[in-house]
Amino acid sequence: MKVLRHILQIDDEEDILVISKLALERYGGYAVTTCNDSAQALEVATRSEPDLILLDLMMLGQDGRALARQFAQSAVLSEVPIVFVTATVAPELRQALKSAGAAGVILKPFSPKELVAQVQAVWDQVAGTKSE
Amino acid sequence: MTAPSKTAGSGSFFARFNAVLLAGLVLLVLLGGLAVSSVDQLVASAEEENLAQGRLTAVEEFVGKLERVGATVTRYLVEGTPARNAEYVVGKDAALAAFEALTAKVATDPAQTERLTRINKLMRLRFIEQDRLVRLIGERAPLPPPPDSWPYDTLGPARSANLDQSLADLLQAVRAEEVKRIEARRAEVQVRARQTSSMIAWGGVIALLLVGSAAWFANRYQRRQARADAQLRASEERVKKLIDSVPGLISYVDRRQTMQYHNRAYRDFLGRPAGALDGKPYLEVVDTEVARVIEPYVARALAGESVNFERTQRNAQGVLRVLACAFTPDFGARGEVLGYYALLFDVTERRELERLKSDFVAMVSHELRTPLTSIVGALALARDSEDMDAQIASLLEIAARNSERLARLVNDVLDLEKIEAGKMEFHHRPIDLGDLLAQAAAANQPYAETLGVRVRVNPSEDKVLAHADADRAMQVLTNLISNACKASGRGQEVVLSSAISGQMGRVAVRDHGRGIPVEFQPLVFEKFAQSATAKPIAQFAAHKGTGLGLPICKVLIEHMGGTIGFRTQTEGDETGTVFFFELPLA
Repeated sequence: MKVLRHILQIDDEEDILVISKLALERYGGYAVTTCNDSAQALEVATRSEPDLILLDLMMLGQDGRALARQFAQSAVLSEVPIVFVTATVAPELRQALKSAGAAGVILKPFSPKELVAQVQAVWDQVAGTKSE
Repeated sequence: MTAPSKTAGSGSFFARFNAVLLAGLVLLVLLGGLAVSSVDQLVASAEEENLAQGRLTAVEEFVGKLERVGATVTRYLVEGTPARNAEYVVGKDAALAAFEALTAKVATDPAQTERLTRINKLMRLRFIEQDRLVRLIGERAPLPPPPDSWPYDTLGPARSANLDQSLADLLQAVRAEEVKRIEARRAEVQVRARQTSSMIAWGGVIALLLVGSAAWFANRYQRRQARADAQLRASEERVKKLIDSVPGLISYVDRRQTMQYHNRAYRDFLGRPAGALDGKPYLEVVDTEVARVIEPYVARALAGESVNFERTQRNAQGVLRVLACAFTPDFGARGEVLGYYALLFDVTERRELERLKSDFVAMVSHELRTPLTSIVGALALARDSEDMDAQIASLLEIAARNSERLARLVNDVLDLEKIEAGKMEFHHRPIDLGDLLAQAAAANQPYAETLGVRVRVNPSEDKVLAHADADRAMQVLTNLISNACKASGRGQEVVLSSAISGQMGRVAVRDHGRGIPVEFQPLVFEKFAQSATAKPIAQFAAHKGTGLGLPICKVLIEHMGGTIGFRTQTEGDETGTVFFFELPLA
């Protein structure tokens, strides 16, 4: 089973990026690349080749779902699991995201340790499914 | 309101009318009876008079015959014709027969009978005299010397005249008696006739009065009816205006689904002119799409069930409106359904407001969550640093605790909003309440320990299976346990138990704290009750919650068909509170 090493986090909130990066590095030991501009997200993702992408659902400019569709069409990124991060709690939205191919959904607000635990849980599930 | 008194009024009205009519009829019958008997007597009197007249005639006839016999004798004497002899015999027999007839008629009272006896005697004496005279004439014997005066008499003129006079006197007496009787009868008849005619006149007056009073009553009754009709029409008009002034759409549809009544709002909604709807089949009034939607509800209403539902329909301007509908069956006297009343309220604006509120709450919560994520994360990371100043650490601890509280508050507000908007999904299945308690105890033990409290499950004798959503039940239980821990003192125990209570499975969470102050008890399940009565709560729970925990528990439990409540003791040795909820058994 492949080990999760490199995470790309895309969010237009700089503060969230700083905190998440710190948490993921400190508690998960992952390498984290961040991107706060949805316009550059595809380019950054393609260049950095992450194992998993944490994607904010609602961003200025392009929203998370549109980006996810672009990633799915990219040759390099189509296999990379995408985990949405959102402050919206509507269960029907979560369900819609999952059926649209999201590997997981993490709700804001989260504590740093929770974030790491949830990311790892999603990874274990995805990697487990693939290796079976 | 006026109907009962009106009925009573017309009751006494008719009673009076009947009494008057009855009294009049009784009087008429009495008078009629009297008149009939009076007429009978009148007839009897007339007959009496008739008889008396007959008797008088018999007297005259007898007198006539008697005189004729006398005349025959005289002629015989003068003419000497033998035929007169035979005529005399016949005349005498006729006179005797007339006397017989007279006797038969007149011998009714002793005085007359006495007179007749004497007349008979005198008559016979006369006949003896006349017989002798006739015989002498027949024998051509010399007649006694011619009398000085007629009738020629063998007795001698004086005696003869005397005899005749006596006879005449007697006959006159008989005649006079009868005439007296006739006059008496006539007087009687006159009196009776006057009486009868006055009776008939009174009867006429009474009959007139009866007819008059009947007419008067009929007239009054008609006026009263007319007044009652006018009142009824006025009241109907008022009710109609009232119903027309209701902003809801009101209609009445009968058993055969014919529209019987509708108000102005209904007409206006459909944009139909007045009079275009009543008497029409209901399914023709509404369009086919609406008819299809409401059909099952109509069937239920006509089966005697009150139904409430919401649907959309385009109004006359083609704008889609949300209508809250209530169909209420109309029952007849024997409990049969005659039709149903449909009350429809346009709740479009209300629903729109609810949606806006819901959206607003969701939006605000979302906007709050994003900065909260940064604060919670930043604080957690900062506190996880080594070599920190103790004062800064304690300040960061305060900040972290409060940001978590804020996060919970946002979650609770959203939860409540979701439940109230009916957006929360429930997945009911049979859940073992014993297992639920064990899980909840284990999950909350770490938190309880931070307060020095122990959570213990009191084992149940029965396996209690409730029909509920496991996650929601756990959410409620967690909330109650957390409250119980906060209410407990260090070293105290929170006891969980489950049992079967009638048709329900019952869960209880007991603490041994100080109990809920009396003034706060009514507010326990109110939203934000904590902040509203901050002072008693500060004593009740040192650890503040969001103020939405118990209201959420209440709506969740009620959503699952259950009830929630508490018992509390604030005085004596055994203080503390038991919160309990009941869920339907599986």
